[in-house]
Amino acid sequence: MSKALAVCRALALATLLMISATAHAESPLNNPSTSEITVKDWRDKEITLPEVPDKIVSLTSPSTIILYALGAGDKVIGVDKYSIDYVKESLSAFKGSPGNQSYYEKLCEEVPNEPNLGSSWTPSIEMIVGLEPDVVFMYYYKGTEENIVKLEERGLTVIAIGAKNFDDTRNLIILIGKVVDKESEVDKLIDEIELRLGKVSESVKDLPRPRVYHELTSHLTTAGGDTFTHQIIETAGGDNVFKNLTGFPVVSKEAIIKANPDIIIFSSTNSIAKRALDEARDIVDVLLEEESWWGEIDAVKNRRVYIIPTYYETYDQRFVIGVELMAKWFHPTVFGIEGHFEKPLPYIGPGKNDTIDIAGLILTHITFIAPYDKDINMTVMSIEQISLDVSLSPWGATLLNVPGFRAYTYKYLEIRLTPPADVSESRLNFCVERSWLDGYGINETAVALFRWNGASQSWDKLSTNVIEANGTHVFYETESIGLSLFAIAGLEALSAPPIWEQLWVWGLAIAVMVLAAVVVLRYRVIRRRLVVEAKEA
Amino acid sequence: MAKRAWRALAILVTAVALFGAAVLAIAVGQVSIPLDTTAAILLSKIPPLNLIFNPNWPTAYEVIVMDIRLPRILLGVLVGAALASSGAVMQGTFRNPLADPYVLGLAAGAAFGASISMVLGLSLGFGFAKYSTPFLAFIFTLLTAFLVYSIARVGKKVPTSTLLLAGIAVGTFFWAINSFMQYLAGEKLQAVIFWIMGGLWQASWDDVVLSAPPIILGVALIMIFSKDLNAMLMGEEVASSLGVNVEFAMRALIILSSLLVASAVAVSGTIGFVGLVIPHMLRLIVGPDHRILLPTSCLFGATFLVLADLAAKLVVAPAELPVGIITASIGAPFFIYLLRTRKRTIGLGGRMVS
Repeated sequence: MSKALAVCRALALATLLMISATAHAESPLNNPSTSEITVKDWRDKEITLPEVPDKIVSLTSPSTIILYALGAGDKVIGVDKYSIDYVKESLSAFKGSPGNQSYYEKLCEEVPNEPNLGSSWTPSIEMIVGLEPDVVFMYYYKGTEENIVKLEERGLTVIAIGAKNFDDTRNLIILIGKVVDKESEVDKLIDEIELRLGKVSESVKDLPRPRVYHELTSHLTTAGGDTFTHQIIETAGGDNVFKNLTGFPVVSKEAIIKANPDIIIFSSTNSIAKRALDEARDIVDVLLEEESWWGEIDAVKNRRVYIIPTYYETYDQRFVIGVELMAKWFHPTVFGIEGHFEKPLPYIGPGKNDTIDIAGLILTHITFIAPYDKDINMTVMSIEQISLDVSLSPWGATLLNVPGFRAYTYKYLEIRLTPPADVSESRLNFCVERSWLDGYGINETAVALFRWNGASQSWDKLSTNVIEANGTHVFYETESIGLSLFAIAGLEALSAPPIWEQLWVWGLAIAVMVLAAVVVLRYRVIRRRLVVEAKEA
Repeated sequence: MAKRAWRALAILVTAVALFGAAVLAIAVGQVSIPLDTTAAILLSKIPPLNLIFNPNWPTAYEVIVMDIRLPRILLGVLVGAALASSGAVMQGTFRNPLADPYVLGLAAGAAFGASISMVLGLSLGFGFAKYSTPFLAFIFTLLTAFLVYSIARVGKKVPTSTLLLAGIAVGTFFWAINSFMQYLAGEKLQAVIFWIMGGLWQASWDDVVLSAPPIILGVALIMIFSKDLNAMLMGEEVASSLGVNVEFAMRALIILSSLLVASAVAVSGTIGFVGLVIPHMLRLIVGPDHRILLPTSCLFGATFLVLADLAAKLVVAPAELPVGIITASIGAPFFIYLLRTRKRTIGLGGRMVS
């Protein structure tokens, strides 16, 4: 009996052992380290992570932004100071960026509260080690190599990234996607980037390239041919006049005159650009005021000077917005048209009128009145809604400017009849979004339609009335004799500068103070002399 | 009599050299403008002659010659003259061959003023924003000089050795703050560094108009003290016994020198080497008599800076090199050459620093 029991026990044990052995033998086959992630960083080094990291420290702004853009923002436990600076710009800096807008909202909400760990060049090593991250993203440049080594010596996994061109950004998105296992998001993001870039490159392929001078934050400093900024210019269809230089050189004024660019772009952090934005004036006027020699350049003569926000030239996916914006400036007739409507006009007898409804533009309907002795027949009406950012020189006009007022332009429209027909009068009905009015603090009644007068090279204001208003839109009606280029804008009267901004007040104040100082000193000297004389007496 | 003639000759030669340098600088640049056009443009601006010349040149040429090259040359002349005279004065006052215009810590103070404007964005309101950096650099240079002077003053006397040490101390202090400013600078770092290296590439007529009165006035007033400087070379006691009011002279010279340096750095940044080397070069050629040394240093400093700026424009064209790099690269070897060929010592013709 005991022997049988012993055999049974042995068999049971053996079976158990076999099962567990096979179970162990099976697990490497069933789960062959699928949780391990291997990527190659910019040092050409293979980095293996045991599983999807939970705690990520990001010491570069592109990696921070991309991590959030892929929906992995929760994993970020610490960032560098530049990430915080960039995000502090506010959500509007991310408007139009490829990717999910709600992820960017999260980015702007959370990152300012993340621990500030210094930067890739000056990391707070103790703090970073203390946070025990699963992976750290850092820049790979001459000045950061040491810091990378220091962190790795303390047992941290570092992924070193570079950011020199569009490919770097793309590869970074793919790499981060792999690390945080969000490859579906990566596909969506990369597809959108390629789509938008592709639209631009396809269209500019056969177009002539305007010569572009791009000035950065410091005066006379530009971007050479090996920079990210240069790539944005070239992709948008421009020709960087200083592409033969490298890095960020300072160029001479003569060189700029010699290059005679067709377009000039200023970074928004340049002092001239800042002044133009602060004073809400055309940058060309500010430029000529500051240094009149700019007037010799074609770009200034044709008023094709623009300001680009610096955050559209950073190393993250927002460079796509930068490319699209520059494309609008370089080729306004191709990229600057926001909307288009075309319809052949019905027959309008002499003296009669007819109304055409318009869809998809801010113009709701337009009424044409034929002259009393002619009819309108066999003509096609086409309307183009033109973006605010572009130069109007292809249309033979300059941007709206009303002396004595600050003009906030809403839209530009071009209305054409092909073949041209005589119209005695036209009545236009358009609507303006209330949010735009509120945003600039413009009164409903301060909005008017302006028509470009080619003969006097200026804008004529047309009488415009409010005909209806609801919660979201205000509707206007206006009359015009003649067609072609129109602008819809709200005006704000400029007031005289307050007294303390007038120069003579300060001159007077300083003169008075100096005189007072002189009098006081003289008084003290006289007093001392009197005391001495009194003593001697 | 011969002395006077020799003096006049020396000044004439340096003046001619300056003129030649100016002509070269106005004729050469990125855009090649024919020499006769340049001459015509310039001459047509002189009231009686403008009737003769018919403006048949492109406006771009006129803008380049009148608004870009001419102010730059004039600024080079003013700054070079200011720095060289100031250097000669500092070397004479302190009887120290290593003295330069910035010896009282002025470079550090000026850089601090400029950093405040560029990094912290402190700016003058009321439409003067673009003068913020020059203004703050100017004010802080003068404040630094005043600070050093106050630290070193003992009653009415200001011992030179204490002044030098106070200058070093204050300078070191300000350089520490400047390093911190550079840490904060972020993307403005390049602008700050370029300012400290010094350069004339942003010269405009505004800069010339602002800096000309103080510099011309300062240089003229310094010439008055030529004889006093000669006497002071032999020591303060000897100078006093020769009838020189040493206290007054020193105070005046320090004030004038600081004014010159402040005006120069406000418009061009801290250009080094000109104030140190030019007086020594001239001293080896014309001797230590300040009545010749001061005017010739002034003129030759101007020449040197104009030529150095021309090189800065051309060396890495179309990019610009900060002129401070050129002045250092040319000044040092040429100075060594002069030392080797002339067997005089690098003394000051009088007693060395005590």
